[in-house]
Amino acid sequence: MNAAVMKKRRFHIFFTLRYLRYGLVLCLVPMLRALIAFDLPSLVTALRQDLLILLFCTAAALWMWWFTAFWVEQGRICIEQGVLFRSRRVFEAVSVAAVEIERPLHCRLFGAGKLRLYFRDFAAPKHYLLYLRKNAAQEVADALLPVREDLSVFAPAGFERLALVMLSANVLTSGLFIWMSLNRLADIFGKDIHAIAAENFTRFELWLEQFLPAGMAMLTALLFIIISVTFLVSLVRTAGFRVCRNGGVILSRGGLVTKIERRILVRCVSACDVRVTPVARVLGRYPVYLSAGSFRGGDIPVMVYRRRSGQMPETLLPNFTQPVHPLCVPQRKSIWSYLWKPLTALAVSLALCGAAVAVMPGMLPVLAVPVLLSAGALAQSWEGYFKEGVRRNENRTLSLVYTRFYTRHEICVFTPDVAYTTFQHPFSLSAGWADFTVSLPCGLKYRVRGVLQYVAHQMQFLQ
Amino acid sequence: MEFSVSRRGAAVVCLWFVLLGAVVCLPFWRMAFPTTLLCLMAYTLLCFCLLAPHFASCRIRVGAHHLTVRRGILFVSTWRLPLRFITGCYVLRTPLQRLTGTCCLVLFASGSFTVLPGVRFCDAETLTAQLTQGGRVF
Repeated sequence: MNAAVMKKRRFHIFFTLRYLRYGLVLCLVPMLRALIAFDLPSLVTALRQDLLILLFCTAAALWMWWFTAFWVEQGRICIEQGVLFRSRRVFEAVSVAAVEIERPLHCRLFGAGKLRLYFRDFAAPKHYLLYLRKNAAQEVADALLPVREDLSVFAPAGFERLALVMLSANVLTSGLFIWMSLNRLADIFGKDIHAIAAENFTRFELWLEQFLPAGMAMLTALLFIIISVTFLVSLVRTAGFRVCRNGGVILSRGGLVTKIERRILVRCVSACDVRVTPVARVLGRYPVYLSAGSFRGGDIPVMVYRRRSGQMPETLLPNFTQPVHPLCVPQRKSIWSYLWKPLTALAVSLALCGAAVAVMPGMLPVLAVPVLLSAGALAQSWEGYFKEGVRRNENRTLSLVYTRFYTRHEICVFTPDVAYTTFQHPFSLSAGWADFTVSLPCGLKYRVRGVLQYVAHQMQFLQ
Repeated sequence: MEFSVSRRGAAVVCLWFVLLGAVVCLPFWRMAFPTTLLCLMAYTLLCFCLLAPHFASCRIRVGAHHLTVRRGILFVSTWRLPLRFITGCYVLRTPLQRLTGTCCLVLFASGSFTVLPGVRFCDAETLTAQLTQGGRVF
């Protein structure tokens, strides 16, 4: 471990934002009183009170910031905070499993960086956030998890880059991003952005209605917009993405607007998750996510690989083992434990389609969508019936395969710090199988269905 | 080393759930007293007939290297983890539990935790000592 010594410094002034948020919440109280009175003098008084509250909170936050300090000494980071009640936290470098430096646009404009420390176990807090200057954040990361960038393991270009963009696209993150952006724009321009967006959406929908039925046109327009924005967000987040491994540390770096750098200590990696999504099947490339200590893997895969190619997860993690099938005995499982949910959804969707044929034939194309989705889930569950399972490998790792929604997860667990949970209901008790769950230190749980009872109860812990 | 949850301890914990049900019923007392009373009685009966046996079925076994917690009658779950990765124990005793000599024990691991409601206090002390102090009871 690097024994770098860094002199005492203050946090970045962005640290005060954390306390200003409380001030904004306090400002609601006078506004609430003004709303109840509902007259101009009350509003003026409330605005004055809000100004005073904000001034007071700013002064208090600046005072707090003035007394913050951090320094690195002999493989540990020390943090001091507080005015009346001073607190000092000391985190040993050996307890740090991963470090993340995030620099959103507003932080980049003011030369700040958010440094998040992820710890190895539960003894420390799970993670700790620091607002530091850009250079200071880099120095702390270098002192805690030093790395040289000369060995690039994964630097996607061309089709690999496209695959990374498509496989990192996350509808939930993008949806949140759109919602926040619309609210911000509405605040900045003072116009009803939602109404403008709705108007443009209606125009697009009307244009599509020239080729498609009414309901289908709306669905297609919605789907097109969501997919476009999702890919755009993913494209921006994965710009210049690069992964290196050196000195026992995995370094990933990338992003256009928000720059993110992650350093993961290889010996703290608890599990490696290869996600076989429908898009991954089409592209023939699979995203790999890592978890280490309390770090859950983030939203961008650490690499995307193609089977039987040079770039495999083994280049990052030499102990990684692909699951060797068969991991289970399908004949000893209950097919209904896999199929009852998608079959129910399919039956309900088909019933709705049947009702639509008789009552509202125009709705039939729209109702075909849940039928297709249920059929996809049914196919995925059918695959899970044959492939879900667990096995302890010879190289002291654990291989797990489980399916959830439309994704098959192929996991390789490295850490011995796990908990096993076995669940049985009366039917599984009589048939001799159980649901087997592995809990990781970061809180992730992997549930494998239909594991033989004796295998589940006698599964040995990793050494 | 093997422990189990006492019936008395499980019943005390069930009382908490009954109390919670009574609090939920409070707004409905005036509107429909007989119906609310009937519902509360049915809920109490359910608590003591289903929940109490479920809690009482809990068995804790401390092996050489790992801890096993088994619970449930119809729906059985087994929680296993290596002893060296248990990060903490938490013992909660309410006045009623002090009278009955029981407690609630929570065991923490890195990524999970489990609650053992209604364990005998002497068992909890022994187990805590075994897990955290190498068997020495302070």
